[in-house]
Amino acid sequence: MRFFEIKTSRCRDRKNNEGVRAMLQKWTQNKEENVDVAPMVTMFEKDDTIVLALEMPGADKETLDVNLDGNQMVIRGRTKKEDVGKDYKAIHRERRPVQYERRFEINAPVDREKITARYQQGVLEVTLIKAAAAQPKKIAIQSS
Amino acid sequence: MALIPYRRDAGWMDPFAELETLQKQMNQLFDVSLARSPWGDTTLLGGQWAPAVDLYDSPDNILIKADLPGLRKDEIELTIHDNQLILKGEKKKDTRVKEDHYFKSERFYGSFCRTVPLPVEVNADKVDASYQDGVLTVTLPKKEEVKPKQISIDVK
Repeated sequence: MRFFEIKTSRCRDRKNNEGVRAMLQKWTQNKEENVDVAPMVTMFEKDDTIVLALEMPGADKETLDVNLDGNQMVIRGRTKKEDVGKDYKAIHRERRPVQYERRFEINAPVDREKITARYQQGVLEVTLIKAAAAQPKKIAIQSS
Repeated sequence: MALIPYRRDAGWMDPFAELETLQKQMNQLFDVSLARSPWGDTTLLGGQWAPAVDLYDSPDNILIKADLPGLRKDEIELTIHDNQLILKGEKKKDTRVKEDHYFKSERFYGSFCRTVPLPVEVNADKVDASYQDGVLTVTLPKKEEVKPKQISIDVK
């Protein structure tokens, strides 16, 4: 059993009941509307920190938002509007405007004041620091 | 690199492409075993990952954008060969972490390769590539002879 528990699911809590029809409509009619995406995450532990690294390529730094409310952490962001200039015509497109959102349930004693987030190379790294009380402590043995 | 059969990829603009793929896969369901699947690049057993690519055309240039999150500049390799742009690289695992220290890992790690056929001939010496926020932008200037030219007509 792990002492630290961070839960997340691939599917999104909200907007899931939107339905296929609405989704198809959104895709076919308004191509520039942001599509909801749950970014891929890698979580790892290093010394006294827990790092969540989320793949959010092309995100606009202004829209990135990390919010911890109770034990619910919500990470959001959206991609920049694609602007290639009016000379360019799209021939083939696979990338689309994206609204990133992922929720985590953090059931771990973390130092709430020391959470940091850094965005580089399209990856958002959120670093949580374990609360002092949760860090391993060496206990000296007394001998009489 | 495994050879992957050609699959029509209309991208996200065609919502029915997925259905078509599904139908094809259902038809072939009993022809294959799971270990050797002809659509080896799908997610059933995990497989190859390739970046999503956009292709734009202007009178002077071809512009390519690719989503490549979490790479370093020197981990991406760009080659132009036979009028194709080959995008290769390797996404390495975080060196800071030991294997047993992962809670969860959904991100793709490993090598990838994507070949983009270019619609016209380009000047391979003047290609400009930049990498920002996990997005690779490549500008390929067209060769003079393939650029559209306006021909004025003299009226006599």
